[in-house]
Amino acid sequence: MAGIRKVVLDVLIPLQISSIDLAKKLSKMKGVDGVDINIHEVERKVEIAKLTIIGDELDFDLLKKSIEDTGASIQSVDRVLAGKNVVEWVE
Amino acid sequence: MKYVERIVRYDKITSMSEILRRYFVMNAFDGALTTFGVLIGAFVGGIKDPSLVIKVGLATSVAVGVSGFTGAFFTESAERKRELKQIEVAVHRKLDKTELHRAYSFASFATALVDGLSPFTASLFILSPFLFSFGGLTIESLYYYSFGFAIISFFLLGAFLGKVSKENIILTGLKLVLAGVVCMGIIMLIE
Repeated sequence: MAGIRKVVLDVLIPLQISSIDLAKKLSKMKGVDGVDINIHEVERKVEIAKLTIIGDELDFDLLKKSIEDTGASIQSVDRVLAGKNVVEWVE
Repeated sequence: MKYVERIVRYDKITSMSEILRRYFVMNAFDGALTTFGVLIGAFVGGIKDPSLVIKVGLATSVAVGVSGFTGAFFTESAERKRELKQIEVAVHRKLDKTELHRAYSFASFATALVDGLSPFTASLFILSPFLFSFGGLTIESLYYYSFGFAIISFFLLGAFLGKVSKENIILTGLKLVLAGVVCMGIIMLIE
């Protein structure tokens, strides 16, 4: 395994967009093994969520395009895991 | 199939099927009652020339159809644009060329189409005895058939509403028939 294996994103998802449909859509993409959408706040028009995608050789640009095509927006990239080995998180 | 899936997604995003259902009944009833009123006026006014009734009736059908389409298109587009702008502020980005934008545009157009076609179709249905008799019936028969078609369309629209709200469809159908009869009564009084 190599390339990007995991990304954790801070996203804003409009309420009209189903996070279930978004997860399904991302999970079908090439290289994606799993998707986790954790909604931690709901505001008047949006859900604030942590979006975790794991897989092999993830194409970040394609993922970004796919997420943004729905109307959601990526606020920040909070974590990226890449390479053959798992890097232990050190405080 | 892909096209159908896309429409289903758009419906999920915009909840447009609810609005379409509401507008369909409202505007079909509008078109039906307007044409019914025109026919009663022509009947009471003693118009005996079927071609004249057809001309006036078709003009009415087109007018309600165009009115429905344009009114709904501009209104829905304005409302959806306003909503999109609010979402843009919330997500801190423009939403042009996103699925959300496409869904909203589609919903506006679909609503306008239903708003235009439903009264036009209802109107044509009521006029159909005049349109398709080809001289086989007397003018009085044409009027009575048209009035009958109008009552049927009121009943069907009411029954549809009853099905949607899971009420007694006979009762809801009769309610709209009553509205039509009241309209007829008022026009007769005026004449």
